[in-house]
Amino acid sequence: MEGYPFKSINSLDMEPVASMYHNITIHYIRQTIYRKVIFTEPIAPFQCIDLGALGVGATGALTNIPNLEMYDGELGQWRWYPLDNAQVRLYLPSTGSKQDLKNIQPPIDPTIVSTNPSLNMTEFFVWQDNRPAVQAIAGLALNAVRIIAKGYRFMTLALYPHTWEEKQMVKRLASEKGMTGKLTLSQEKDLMEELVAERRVASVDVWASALGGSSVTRA
Amino acid sequence: MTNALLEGRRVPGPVVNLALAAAANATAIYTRPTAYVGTTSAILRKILVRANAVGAAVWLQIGTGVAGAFANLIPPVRVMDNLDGEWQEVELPAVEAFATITAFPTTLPAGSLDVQIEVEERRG
Repeated sequence: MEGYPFKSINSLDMEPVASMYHNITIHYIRQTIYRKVIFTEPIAPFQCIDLGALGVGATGALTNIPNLEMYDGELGQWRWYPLDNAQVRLYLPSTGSKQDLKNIQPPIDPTIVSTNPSLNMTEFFVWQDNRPAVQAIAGLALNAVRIIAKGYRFMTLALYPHTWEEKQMVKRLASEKGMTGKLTLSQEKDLMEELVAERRVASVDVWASALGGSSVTRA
Repeated sequence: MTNALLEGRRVPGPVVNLALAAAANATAIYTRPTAYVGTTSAILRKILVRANAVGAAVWLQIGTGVAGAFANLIPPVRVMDNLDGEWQEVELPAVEAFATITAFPTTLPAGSLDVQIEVEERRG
């Protein structure tokens, strides 16, 4: 299956991580959510938040971005840049430092549009209303700190077998398990998720959070 | 051809009125940010000066530091009364300041100077 995160390397393009009827595995902190994409559409660049004015040398408050929340059952694939001359750190959710290293959390500033025109290095995913948060650092006084985001919206459904191949794979797994008779929808869903988890059916994996944030202990 | 990975961001300084001569009165015309993650430096890219020094031509010194610690970034530029003093990127050496950029007129017979610069701000 085509599509994986951060794909655009040498072009200005941003590709959707999955297409219609592709399977998608969403990791959110310690949850794994298996879904099937049924609709996708692009979201052109827009201002998702204005963090407001900042004084010289000020570090702003960690601020949620409600405008990047998705409907229930929907996934957002986002790339972004600050329009104003600030360094901005990303959190996803607000308790989890995104793009975090052992000794530093590298911020993104407006020069990202020339150093990484496809913005693929800014990419992150939002599952439902698990919104990101940002924090800005101003070197000089700023009248506004505007964040521009662009990306794709994916509407998803629970992971039932859809294609002929998937239905055959579900039947085969049911047979391996000695399950007889007509499978219930719930059983089909469980078997499909098991097939995806075991990599017997293709699915795109995305992380819709920081790596566990503060919930993961690292030495 | 420039490499985008090496380019900084263009930032204008404020319009600063220099009303006093001598290095002791050197005034910040671009304040180097220290709050950013990484080390910030500034490359002088444009200078715009308006002389209010009636009937006079004066030397404008641009550098870093104040008083005895002042060090020129570029040679002093001559500013003529009642004329725009403009220096563009192609006319300026690409000196990089790792400190706040300051300026002062060597002498100032009467009036003052209004100065504004644009820098290319580079961050580590």
